[in-house]
Amino acid sequence: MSDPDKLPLLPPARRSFLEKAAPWLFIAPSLLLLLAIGLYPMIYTVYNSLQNFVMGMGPPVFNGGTNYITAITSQNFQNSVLRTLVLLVITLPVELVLGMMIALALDSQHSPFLRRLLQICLVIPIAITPAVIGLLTQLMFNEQLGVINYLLGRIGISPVDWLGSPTSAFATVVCVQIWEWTPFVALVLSAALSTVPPEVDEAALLETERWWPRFSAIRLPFMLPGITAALVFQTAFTMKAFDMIYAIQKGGPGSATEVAIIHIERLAFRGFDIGVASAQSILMLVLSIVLARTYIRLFYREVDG
Amino acid sequence: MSPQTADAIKRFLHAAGIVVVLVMILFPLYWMVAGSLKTQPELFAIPPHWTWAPTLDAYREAIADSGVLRALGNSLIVTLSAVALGLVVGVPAAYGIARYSFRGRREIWFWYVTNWMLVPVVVLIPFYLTAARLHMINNPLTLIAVYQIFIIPLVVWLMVDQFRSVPVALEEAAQLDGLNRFQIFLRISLPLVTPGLAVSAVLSGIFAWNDLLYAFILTPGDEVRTAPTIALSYLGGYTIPWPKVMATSTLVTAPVIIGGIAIHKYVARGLTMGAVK
Amino acid sequence: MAEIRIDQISKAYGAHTVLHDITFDVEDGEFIVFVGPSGCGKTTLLRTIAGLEKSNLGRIVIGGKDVTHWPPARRGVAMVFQSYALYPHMTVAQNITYGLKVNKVDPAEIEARLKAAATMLQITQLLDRKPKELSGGQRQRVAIGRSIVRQPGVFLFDEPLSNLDAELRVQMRAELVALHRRLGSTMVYVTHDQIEAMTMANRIVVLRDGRIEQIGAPLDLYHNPQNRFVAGFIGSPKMNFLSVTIQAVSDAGVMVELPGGPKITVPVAGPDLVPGGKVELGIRPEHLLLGPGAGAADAQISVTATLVERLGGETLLHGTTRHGEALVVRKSGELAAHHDETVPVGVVAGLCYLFDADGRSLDPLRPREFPQ
Repeated sequence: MSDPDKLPLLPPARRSFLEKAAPWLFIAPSLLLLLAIGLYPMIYTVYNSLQNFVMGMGPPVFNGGTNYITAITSQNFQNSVLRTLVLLVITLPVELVLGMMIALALDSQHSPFLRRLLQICLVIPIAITPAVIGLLTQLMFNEQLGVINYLLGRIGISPVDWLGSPTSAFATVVCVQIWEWTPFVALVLSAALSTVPPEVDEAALLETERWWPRFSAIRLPFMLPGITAALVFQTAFTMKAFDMIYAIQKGGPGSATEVAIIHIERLAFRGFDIGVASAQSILMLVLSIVLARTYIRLFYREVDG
Repeated sequence: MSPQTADAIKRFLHAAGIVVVLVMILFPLYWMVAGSLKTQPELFAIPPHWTWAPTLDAYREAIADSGVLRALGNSLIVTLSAVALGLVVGVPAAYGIARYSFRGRREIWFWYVTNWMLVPVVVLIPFYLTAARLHMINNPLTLIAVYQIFIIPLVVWLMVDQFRSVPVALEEAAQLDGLNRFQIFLRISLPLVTPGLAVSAVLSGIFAWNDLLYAFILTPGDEVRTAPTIALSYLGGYTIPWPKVMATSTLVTAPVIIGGIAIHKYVARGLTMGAVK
Repeated sequence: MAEIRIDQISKAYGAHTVLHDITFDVEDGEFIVFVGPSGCGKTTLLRTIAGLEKSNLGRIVIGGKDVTHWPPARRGVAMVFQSYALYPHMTVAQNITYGLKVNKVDPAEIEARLKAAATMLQITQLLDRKPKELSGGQRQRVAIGRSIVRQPGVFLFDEPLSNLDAELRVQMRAELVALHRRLGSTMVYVTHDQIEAMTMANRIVVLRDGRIEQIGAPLDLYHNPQNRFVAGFIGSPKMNFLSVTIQAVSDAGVMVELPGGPKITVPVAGPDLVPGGKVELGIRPEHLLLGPGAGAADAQISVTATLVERLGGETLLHGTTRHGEALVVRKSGELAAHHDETVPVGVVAGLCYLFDADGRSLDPLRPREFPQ
């Protein structure tokens, strides 16, 4: 992430009151708005997470950390968090590997037209409405009438009940998640790859004709900040994922694709248990912060640092 | 094998790989548009019909259903307003962060950025409770406000980047001409960053337009529901009118796909808050 | 140790041709410099030798082997880049030894070569630092060290001194010449700076628009430029060019009229010239005579000074002829002339060049006698 302390600054000019207040006047509107819609709700959620608060069951009552214990011991919540993590653990490496392959393909000198076309098309899965992706999934992955099973049949694979069984429904979500976000990872890695100075790459090319040492020893170190960014943001996007999975079959069949956000949404707005749902969303927040910090500690290196 | 042959094979594999990825990306899109131009039996024909007489019936049906047009209109209003608000408050903030040194600058900066990665339910539940208390459920203003949680970080990041690229000397020259900070911002810097304004508007607009979760909870009413919500609304029935669903989906996704393609160069940089070039 | 043969190399990017049918040989142990204005193709030619660019036509032969289709690493060449291209995440020692390690050279051997190179380049105390902790000159030495340890047959330099300040550039120039003498390797050096070319090269290749204008030893290019471009490119300040009218063509040479009327017979052969035609007369600033010596010259022209640059050891007089053409005169020592003064400038016929309409230099009837 870009360090604001490295930005060019205006020199201190006439230090009138207006001048001194200027930065705050510029920032104040957005700051107030974000305090109101970002910070206040978060504090409110922390507050709610400490209340016995079920909508329509009387006023909230403070109950210490009981909600957190309920949340952590809840089998359904545990399962939904586990599902989210499994989704993360399966999709992330696949997205990274496929994304890296696409980024390397974009970096090549061959087929300029195809590369240009791909660069443009990569944005489509990122921009397209996730709810519509869910709808399309329902249509295309239909067991009897879906085009996926038809195409698989053409290469001799018998029809799969993609949406019906718990395991295959989860696999479907995994596939669609990879389809939706690999292009993002590819674009980020492609940008990271372009930070390798061409002359450094060529210097390595003069020293060895083998691809792997050049990639791992020369290019990869330049790409680490980009790879970290891909990990951090892709993890955030996966933890936030709701729209697409909900649109496929609302977390079903049963609770086979009920990821954490869907579980919390259901608990809060179908089960009306605001207290426990709040505790769970705080736990998810903590989890995503811990993951982001871990990545940064493990992978983030400025190449000339 | 001669070097020329090896090179030719490499070229072929490279091109073939890209074509495979392109097909993977574009086929679902094709299937959506094709489905919207088919009739229900044709849509489910096995084997699929690769050629057929296209019909606009599904679109007529979707448009005749007043809900679809209204939802598209609602989405348009909410998206435009939310983006406008985000720009009005976010752009000056970006300028302040780009051009001034003050205590807490770094902290404010990081806090803005973290809002982009926030787990939405953390905000959604209290927002719902507060909106309910204020009788603001089913009010588009609620959505416009809550979308700022991701619009402001996007706008601030992208615009800080833009303001940095304006030479400080230009602003110093304006200062010597007697303009104050606010005049410099409005008359010198802002006109120079209009391309960045367009990019941040489109990028944040895409996310506002696409949102399902907030809209689903905060504006569920028939009158105020947005485009992604209406696309899901057909699913309840016993038989789903798939051509109509695909026609609606095409209408819903067309603006974001066009917008995304228009700014495709900036998407990676924008979404990672400038962590990559 | 290796010689290089460049055989009919052509290269085009789409419709834009950057190298036209280039052919020449570089001898083993030679220090050859490619020089020319930016965009002349010199860097492309160097990169083609390295294998970083592919030519559309032609062959590159290094050390007797046709390497045209070989990958860069197999060609036995090392290159020093303009930006040095050091690996920023590696220490100096790692930078220098990476190529050896990746090619599985024996560790003891690596250590020995590293030590030898570091000593030679006086960077022993820098081995544990990262590139960003080094000055420009130090980075340059590391980049050279990285190529030395590989013991390549050919060293390639791509404008390696252009990022250094003037003083350091002069110093590194001398060091590179000393390095070449010590290693005796073939070195190919690209620069846009004709002074670098003149001071370092055994032979210079002058390129323009992807074509070779002339190949030769530095003083050969200075004394006998084959065309107007080389004449103007080699030498500083550059050669003066005056448009003159042919008066007569004889066995003694070509008689032309200088601005202001004096006539002079330049001893060059002009078989295709006819009286009344136009040619360009070239004369170097240092060959024009000022002050007491001017009267002894073959002809004199009046020059009105527009600027007198006094550099101490020498004086440059910028002026215009009666025809308004710009002219520079270089005189060693000092000169009393001042701005707006009109002074007589002596022209020695034997030191003049004539260029025909195509810019070709007319052959001298006898070798030119340059002042010692």
